[in-house]
Amino acid sequence: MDFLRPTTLDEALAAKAERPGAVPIAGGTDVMVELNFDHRRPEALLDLTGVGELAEWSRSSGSDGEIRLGAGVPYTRVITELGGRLPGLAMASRTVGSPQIRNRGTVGGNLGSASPAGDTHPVLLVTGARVEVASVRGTRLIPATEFYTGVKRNALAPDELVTAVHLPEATGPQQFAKVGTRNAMVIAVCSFALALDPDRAAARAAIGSAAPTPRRAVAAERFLAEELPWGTPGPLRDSLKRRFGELVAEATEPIDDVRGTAAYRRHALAVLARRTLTWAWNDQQERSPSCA
Amino acid sequence: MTRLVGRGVPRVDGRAKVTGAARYAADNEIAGVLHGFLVMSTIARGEVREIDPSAALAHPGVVAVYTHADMRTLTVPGFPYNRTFIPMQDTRVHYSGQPVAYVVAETLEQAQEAANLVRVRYRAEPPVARLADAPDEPFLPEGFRADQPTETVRGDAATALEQAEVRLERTYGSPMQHHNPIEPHTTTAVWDGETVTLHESTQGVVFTRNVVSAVFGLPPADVRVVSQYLGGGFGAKGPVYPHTLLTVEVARLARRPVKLVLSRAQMYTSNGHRSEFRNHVRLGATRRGTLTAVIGTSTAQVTRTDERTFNTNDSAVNLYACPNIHVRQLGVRLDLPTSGYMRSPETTAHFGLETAMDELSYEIGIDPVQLRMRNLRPTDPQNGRHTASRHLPACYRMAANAFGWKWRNPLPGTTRDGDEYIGWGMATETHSHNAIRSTVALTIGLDGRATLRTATQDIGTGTYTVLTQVAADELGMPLGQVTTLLGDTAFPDASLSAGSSTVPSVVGPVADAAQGARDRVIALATTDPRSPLHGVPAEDVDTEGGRLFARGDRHRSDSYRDVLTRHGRPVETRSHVENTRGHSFGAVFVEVRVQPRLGTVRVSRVAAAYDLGRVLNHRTARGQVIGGVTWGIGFALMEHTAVDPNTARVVNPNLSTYLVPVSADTPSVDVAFVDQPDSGSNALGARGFGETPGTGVPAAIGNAIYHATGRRIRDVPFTQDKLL
Repeated sequence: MDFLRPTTLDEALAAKAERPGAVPIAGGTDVMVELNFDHRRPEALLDLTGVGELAEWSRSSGSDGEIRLGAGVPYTRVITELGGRLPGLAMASRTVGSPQIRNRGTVGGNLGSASPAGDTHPVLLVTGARVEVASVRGTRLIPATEFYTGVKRNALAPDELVTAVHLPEATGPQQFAKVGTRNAMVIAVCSFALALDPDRAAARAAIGSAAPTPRRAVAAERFLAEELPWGTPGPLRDSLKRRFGELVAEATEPIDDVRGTAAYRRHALAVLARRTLTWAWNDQQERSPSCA
Repeated sequence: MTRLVGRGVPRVDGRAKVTGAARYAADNEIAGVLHGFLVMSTIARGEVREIDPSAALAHPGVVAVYTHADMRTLTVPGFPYNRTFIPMQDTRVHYSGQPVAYVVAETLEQAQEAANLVRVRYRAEPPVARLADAPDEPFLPEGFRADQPTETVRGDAATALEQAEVRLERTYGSPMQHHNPIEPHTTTAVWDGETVTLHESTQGVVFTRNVVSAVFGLPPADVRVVSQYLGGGFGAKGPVYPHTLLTVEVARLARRPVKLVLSRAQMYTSNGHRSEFRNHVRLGATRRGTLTAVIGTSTAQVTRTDERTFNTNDSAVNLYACPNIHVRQLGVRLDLPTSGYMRSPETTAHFGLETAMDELSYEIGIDPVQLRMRNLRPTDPQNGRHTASRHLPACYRMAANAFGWKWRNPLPGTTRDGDEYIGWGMATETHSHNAIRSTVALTIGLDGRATLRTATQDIGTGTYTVLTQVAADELGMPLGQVTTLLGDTAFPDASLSAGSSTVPSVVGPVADAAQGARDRVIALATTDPRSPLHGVPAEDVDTEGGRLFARGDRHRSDSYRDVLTRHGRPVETRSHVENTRGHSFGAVFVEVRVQPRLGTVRVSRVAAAYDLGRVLNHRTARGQVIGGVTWGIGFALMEHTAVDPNTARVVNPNLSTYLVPVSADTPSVDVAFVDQPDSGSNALGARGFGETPGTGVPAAIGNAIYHATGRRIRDVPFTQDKLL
């Protein structure tokens, strides 16, 4: 197994074009586990930690602020530097592994692995994130909704690398919740993200670890857009929350595995959906001037 | 006179460990060493038909691939080798993950890769992997240790149960579990002529030496086993396992030293486990809560080749004062590796008893602590410390006060905090400890420094520190003037570091050897005209800080160093003092918070108090409590080795799918000790303790979950799906 260590993005892209079988490695929190378990034996590892430009984030100058988050920015920095602008992503980042893993792991790596249980995917789906991928042929932006193509498969071409994620700054409440089999250092049994966009009277909801890919719960989103009493202050009806939970559960396609049963996942996601909706709605009420 | 014993002295080996200076068994660099890797069976029952090593032999660096065809006939040893066969002696396969070939190569990577290239063809038979798949086959095994019978009868339990005012009948269960010490098993075998040295990660260098000596027909003196530090054992390294014996033989065949380190996955079939366990408990009691009958029938996995069970129902026999007891420990033969001792083996059955006691307390309508207090076993004035503690009531009281038990709302399912249900539960903690004949040698050199040598080992519990404290106190030296050397059969034979036996077995001989050495040095001084102490009666000399003083006249003093320098020869003493077996006791109180809609359980508070006789080191004793409680949380909430019922293979042989608690699962533990010396123990009044804390924790957590939710779960782990 060769170990390639480019120091610029151009070198990295050239290496990936020449060796499409090379597996990119950033924090190594997924790749090293797979190597240790002998689940894969790539011909080469392409270490991206020497590419400084991947480890930066920036904000676009436009009024509708967009964050370009370099693929190599570790979760710890997402939490400490972007918690205000990207609250949903920061919440998901806090649930990743341990402090040591959060110091190494990256959103880019989460996308490269494209595990259905990856912690940040539901947030990327509900925030309208676009994945920036590059090759020697050029750069393109893939909407997160089109990025996940199967269990641990994504839309990257063999010569492409994930270089960044573009995320709009939050314009409304965002929530993320995860159930694990212990309180930390654990792969999600299931996870859920929700973003409300009160200006457009829209909502997005997405599930993790309960289908072959992370996916949006489209019918549940439509239900919220139509039924949420956007302009009206006050708590939500229980019947509305319950129906939302049911629609989220219906969007799942879970399996039984060592972490949990399919039935548990469906049930727990309905609970997470109801809870996160309550939290997001309360958050929205506090922000709304009518409640001030 | 005591200055160090009893204090929370920090680890004397702490610096070596955190700086990497401590030499663990695999840290050796031996010239010409070959690296071994085991090829494990992929079927659980059947026969090896053919082994094709050609691809492996063609791999660069590979020196040899050994199979049953290459091995001499080895003598199958007795306890502590817990199997009735040695793998690779014939073609029979008894479990998935049994060694069938042994690859040696110049590097570990080459050996590992070549092991993957060995082609093995089998004739497979369908295995049986779960107790539930052999429901009609439990039998009463003979038992393999005289001190651990598989059946105990006291009084007439059947009649007493029939006549009891209150009867309770329940079944409790726990799955297969694995020890998972962070340091894997490792053996390096170095032959020199007809003698062999093993660098081994073992809880018993003497045990290992004796087994290797028996298997290979060598005089014990020709086998040396070295194990200076261990990264945990938890029983996985107590008995001797096949990989050690195979490595010794392969090193002989290869005529080169061979080093083997088991992979994490291989440790799920190579070194025993806690067996899957069912415990059918019947209690009879009066309406006031006095136990009149205890009937416990447990069923554990054994194998088709042997019938050893390791999880005694000790507390059902010994903890409560019930006149009518019938305890049986049945086995069911499955196609799995032989199980073994795993930290606090008595927890396995104790979980059932202490949950049943909680159920009985609700049935009768009395406080769970009161129910236990009503059934305390009186201390036998002759030999009381063996099975009862006169300080157990103090343990209940101290832990209950620390916890705030008197504020308990007795109604289950009625205490909430937002979405969460809060529950309180408690259980008695108890475990036996062993006492193993141990000898120590103590030398005071011409520099006045003392060196203690004994062939016990420190598995991470603090043995180096405690023995150094004891020797320093008895000698009257500062801690830094005493060096303790352990883990080498070149030293006098001493206790296994298992069965909570190290302190009760070794502390007495250390104290005695140190007293003997001190007395010899005092005698040298008082009879030496050059000493300021010349002529002072020996009994009037005190030792402190490395110096000898005339009592009442501190100006007349000498030092160990000066006495020894004038003497011109080291002073050496040797001692063995035999102690007796016993039990330690305690009480643990637990608060849980349950999210009923998600079924998640969080342990939010733990308070515990213990009677372990005299506490030699509060810091290491507290460390045992933190470790034990953490194990108890894992036992209760997550630990579970999943075995595929069709192939009898472990499907989660790694720490990312075999979950153990992490910091976020373990609250800080409020720990208290009664700290009264046990006059029956010659280990300065200390008893064995390591395995007591945690024994009650699984039941206490289950009892707290019941109190929180009104739901009684009788099978661990208490996972989310069970609580919905």
